[in-house]
Amino acid sequence: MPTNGHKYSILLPTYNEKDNLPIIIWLIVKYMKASGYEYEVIVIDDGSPDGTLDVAKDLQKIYGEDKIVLRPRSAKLGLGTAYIHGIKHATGDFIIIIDADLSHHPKFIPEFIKLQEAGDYDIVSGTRYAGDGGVFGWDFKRKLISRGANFLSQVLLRPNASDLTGSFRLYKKPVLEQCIASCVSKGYVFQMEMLVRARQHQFSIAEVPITFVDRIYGTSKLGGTEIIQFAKNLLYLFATT
Amino acid sequence: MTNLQRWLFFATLFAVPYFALVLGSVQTKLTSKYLLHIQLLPLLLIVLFGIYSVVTVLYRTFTFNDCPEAAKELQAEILEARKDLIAKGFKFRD
Repeated sequence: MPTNGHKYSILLPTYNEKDNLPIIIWLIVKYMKASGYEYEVIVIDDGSPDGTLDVAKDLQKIYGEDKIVLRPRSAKLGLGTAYIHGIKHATGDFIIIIDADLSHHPKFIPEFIKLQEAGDYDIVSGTRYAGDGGVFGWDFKRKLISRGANFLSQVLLRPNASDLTGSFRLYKKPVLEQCIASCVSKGYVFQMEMLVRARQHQFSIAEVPITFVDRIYGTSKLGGTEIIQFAKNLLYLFATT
Repeated sequence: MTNLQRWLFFATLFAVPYFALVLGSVQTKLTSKYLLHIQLLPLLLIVLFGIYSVVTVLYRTFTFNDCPEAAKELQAEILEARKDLIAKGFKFRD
């Protein structure tokens, strides 16, 4: 078993994920156990009305309080603050951020860790846009919007990463704290700003191609308001970074 | 230097000699002969960049991996997870 003296805290912000949570945790346990790295899963539930927290409590009984840590909040307070909240309680020296909706597969986590170790990178980011990476469940229009938005952000922001809006990443704990502290945007564009701030701080970024399977349960969100929000934040970051 | 400042910097580097030629403050035999071409240069550059952008985005859209095997693998693992969790005494709420 390749234990390396490090501990990996996996942050799992949830809102109405009662169906996905047991599966994602089962997958995390499966692949982390097989890899041998030390880890913990921190579930940050924002007061989901569907009883996600009760599901998490049941899972804690199965997998143990050292592996599943519950740090719920009373209301939906946004992704940035969820990470800050999670980091505060994290006992690992590395933080992994993953979506709970099964679009990110935990089998990639050991790959992130291996790559991080190989080059002592500050950040390892999953990318849908390079190598064997890709997306399942997107039609032509969705792919076109995604590729167009990605191209535009590459041209305007010069990030050191090919997938700016993805949110499956590994950070050194102090690096994540510094990136969050310098971020101003909220919601879905927050992920993009994180990597732009990382470039400003001159943190090193490596990438692992990932497959992204769009929501199997529940619905995915990309509407006009998201696109306008994206454009606004893109211009803001263009002018200020 | 922010990205915006960088763009403005390069735009200025281009604009100064461009307007000097177009407005006639600097005149040479060669530039007078090709004045129309020089006048149209910014338009040409924009069109070329536009074509490059459209081709790049379309190429990347068509070569975007679909990963059907990833979805299949996940579906199989979901079933496996449900079975295993139920065996461990977990109750699904659906």
